[in-house]
Amino acid sequence: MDRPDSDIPDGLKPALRRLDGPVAVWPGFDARGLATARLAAARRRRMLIRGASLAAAAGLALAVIIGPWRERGARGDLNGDGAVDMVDALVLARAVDESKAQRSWDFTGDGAVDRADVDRLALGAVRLSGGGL
Amino acid sequence: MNRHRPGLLAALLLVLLAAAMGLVPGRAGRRGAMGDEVSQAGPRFEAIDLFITPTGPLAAYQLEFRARAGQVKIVGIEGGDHPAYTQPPYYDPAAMQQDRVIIGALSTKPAGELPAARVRVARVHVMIEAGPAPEYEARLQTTAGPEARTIEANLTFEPIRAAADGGDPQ
Repeated sequence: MDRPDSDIPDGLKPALRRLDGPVAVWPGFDARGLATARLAAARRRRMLIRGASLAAAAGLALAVIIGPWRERGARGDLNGDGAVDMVDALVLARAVDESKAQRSWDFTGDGAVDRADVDRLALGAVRLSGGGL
Repeated sequence: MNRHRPGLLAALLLVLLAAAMGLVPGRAGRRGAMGDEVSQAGPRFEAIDLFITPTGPLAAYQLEFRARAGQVKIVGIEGGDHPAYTQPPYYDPAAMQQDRVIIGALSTKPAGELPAARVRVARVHVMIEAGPAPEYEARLQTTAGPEARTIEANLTFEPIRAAADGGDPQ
């Protein structure tokens, strides 16, 4: 109300004078606003926890489903480079030649680790649908 | 007149026979021409030699070969020149009649018996349907030395035109 009265239209002056003075605020207004804000914050927190729980459950489910599949996919990765390819077949062929093959390398399941397992591994490596056994 | 009829009939038969004999070479000629057209417009065959230049003795390789243009079907795969790789390589039988194949081979021979310089490791035979000239691409997936450790190598390929009747390329 520092503006000079001359700038204010005459019709507005009485109304503005009535407003001048302490503004009355309903006493319950602050408490209700605070309660609403707290409620909203609590709701957001609950949603966040629920979302995190869902994400964790989904991750766990994926791990349960994909874990064994990845393990099967890695079967035959004898040199541990993350791929089943001709180098793994070479590792197996050398092990067979030197009688150093592991029993777990029996890919044909015939109870022996021999050239047939090398062939099985090599054919798995060149499969068009992706290397693996 | 009746007496002359057998003679006339015989003459007529001779004329027909001569005409027929004259037509036979004509038909054969047309058939040959049509055959040429078929061989020109129909499928033809090509072989592609795959070469690897390793930086050391090559004990194993795996590569992918595909036709990226043209109507190409893989119809056969054979081994290479070096004694270590003369046997047909490993490949997925499902690649036959397709335009893509993964090829691999290995050898447990001692390093001294493995190729250490540019070597033809395989030959891919393809059938090309009528259409645009085929384009191929090949990339190495892995190469290894006798100790089963990966080694550096380069891959190149050279198409070899075969006779239209499917004769042996070279």
